[in-house]
Amino acid sequence: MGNVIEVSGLRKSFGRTRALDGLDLSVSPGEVHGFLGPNGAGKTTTIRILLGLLRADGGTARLLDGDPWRDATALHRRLAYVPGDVTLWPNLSGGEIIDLLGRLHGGINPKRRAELLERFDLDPAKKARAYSKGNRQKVALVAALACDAELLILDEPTSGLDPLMEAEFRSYIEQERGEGRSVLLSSHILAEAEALSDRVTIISAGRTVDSGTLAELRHLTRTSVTAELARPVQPADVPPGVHDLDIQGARLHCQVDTSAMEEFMRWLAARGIRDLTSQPPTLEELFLRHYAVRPDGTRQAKQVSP
Amino acid sequence: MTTLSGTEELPRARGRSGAGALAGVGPLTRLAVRRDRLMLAAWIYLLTILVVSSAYSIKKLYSTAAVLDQFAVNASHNPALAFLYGPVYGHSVGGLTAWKPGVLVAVTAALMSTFVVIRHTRADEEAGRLELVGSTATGRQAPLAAALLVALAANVVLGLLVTMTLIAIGLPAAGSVAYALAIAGSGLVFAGVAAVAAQVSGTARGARGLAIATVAAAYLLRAFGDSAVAAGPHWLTWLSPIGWSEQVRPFAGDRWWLLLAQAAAALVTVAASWALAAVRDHGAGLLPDRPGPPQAGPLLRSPLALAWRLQAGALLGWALGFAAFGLASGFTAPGVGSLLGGSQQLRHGIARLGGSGALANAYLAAVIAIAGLVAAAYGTSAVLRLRSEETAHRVEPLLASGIGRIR
Repeated sequence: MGNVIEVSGLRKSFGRTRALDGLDLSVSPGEVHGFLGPNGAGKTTTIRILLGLLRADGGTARLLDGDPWRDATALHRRLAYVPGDVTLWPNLSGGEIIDLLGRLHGGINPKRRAELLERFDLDPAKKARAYSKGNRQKVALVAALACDAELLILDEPTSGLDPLMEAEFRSYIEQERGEGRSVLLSSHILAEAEALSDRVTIISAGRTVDSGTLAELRHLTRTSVTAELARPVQPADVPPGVHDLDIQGARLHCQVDTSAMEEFMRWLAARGIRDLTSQPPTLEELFLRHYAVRPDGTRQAKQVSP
Repeated sequence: MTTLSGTEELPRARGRSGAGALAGVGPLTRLAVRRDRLMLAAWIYLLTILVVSSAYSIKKLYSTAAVLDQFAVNASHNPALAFLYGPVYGHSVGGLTAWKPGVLVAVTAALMSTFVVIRHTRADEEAGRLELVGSTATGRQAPLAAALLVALAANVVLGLLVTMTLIAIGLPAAGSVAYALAIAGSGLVFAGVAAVAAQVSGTARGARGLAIATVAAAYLLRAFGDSAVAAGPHWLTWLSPIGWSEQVRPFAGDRWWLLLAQAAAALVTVAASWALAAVRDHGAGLLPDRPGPPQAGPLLRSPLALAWRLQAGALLGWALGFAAFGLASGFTAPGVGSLLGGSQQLRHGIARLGGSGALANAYLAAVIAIAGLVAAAYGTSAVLRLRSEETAHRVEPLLASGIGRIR
């Protein structure tokens, strides 16, 4: 079996707004794949194309070895989806909605349903109009997770959950991964993706800017270094490959390119290291780097989807 | 275009390709019925009562054939009544029952279908509920199919109830069936129209507006066709599906073939909406969504201004509609008197009541009564916007911003 999701060069415009501009994404079986980008980068549009709700203008998209538009109905039996913004039928109860979605999906696992209701602490007898945003999200999560799907597509699934529920959600995804399911997890909550993902794809303005394991992506970034030296240094002495330099007498703080690290360490050692802290970049820093102002002056694509 | 890059076939997709578009229709139909059971029961009850109470009162009031005939002759010579109710075809209790509430019931059935279809298609899609449904193993047109099935069922139940109650009152069975079918036929044609409108417009309000405008146009076309002078444009009636309902002439010839015309129109519109639903993007209409201004204008600074900004479009639409209606009735009014050449007696009677201008005045009064009803509908919908703003939580940020509860 090939990749669960294989997208290349995907393009989609809404009127004059270009939402996707050559996006690539691949998710291999059994992995949790983080799909990261700021609001309006095209995450939701990509997911809607994968769900066959939208038709791509160009490029190719394959989902579970099928065509997401043409084979939508059959493919949907094998996947479950939680939208970022869940709206429900106001006069139906949460339990009714979970069962309805389960039936539409072609089957629901009653044992899992009960277990999930318990874990997420959701009252299924309440009418949907009385639910808060977080509870509406839980309804969709329970409905999705209770189907024994091969692939879970989650669009910012925890945006309305409180930290306790978020932790519960994370442990559940860990468990799902253990059972060999694949997960596409779109998010702009970096900690969430960092904690859960095997690999991530970072997109901006409808284009993939980076993809790989977190280790691979860290490779591309700078390490943050704080050092206390034996004697004061001058900015002019510092070797190349060092950025955002801040010198206070003998104290120094900077960002170092991974390729320049060895030379920088030697330079530091020659000046007598009293204290040294170095930190790997957080995903936040990856984000900041990728969404920094681009050469053409655009920061990010216009928001196109609700 | 998404292309198929792999060579492997997808057995499950192939196997179900026939049922694909319809997968999930069953549960979605039950959902729609579950959500609408009270509303649909109310519509159907109201419509049945409208027909049956007319039949009953006509039967009581005009108890002999001579009285019935006299009333029918008088009514059929009045163009104002023709404008409102259509021509009188049968001089019997059945004929008058088909005439008096006929057009109104056909219009109401059309509105019932419109609301049902749009509620379960575009309105749910706009709210985002169909995104959740669309991610499950349902066909792309399944929600549309479910909405149309519910509309069909509602019209069939309505037809059955009308048939049974009219027969119970003692009217001829064939005419009762024809009348019931003519009502349901109008309902089904406009279910199709609403289905198309739901594909064309990206918003539920837009779709409803489009469908209701079509119902209004159909009503007015037949109104002008029916009230036209002898050599006038009677053919206008034939352009209107509501005119077809009227031309079935229940209890006065029962022209069954017109029901086929309605069925055909319903099928054509449904087929069109089906084809559109198969190719369009989820959430999108055919009419493009214009971008709004990036900044608030200088006038948008109070709740009143916000209300104006939100409702000005609808108000303008209604105002234009009323202007057109007023213009049309104004043009026809002066002719009303001269149309009564055949009935010296009626002319005499009306002149005795209020002078020669009375006929035009009576006509205008009747027209204005209708316009008043419609205006009340607008007022109600504009104020009900308050409630929908509140349930959608759009009022909360306003109330939190130092604005009193009543403003």
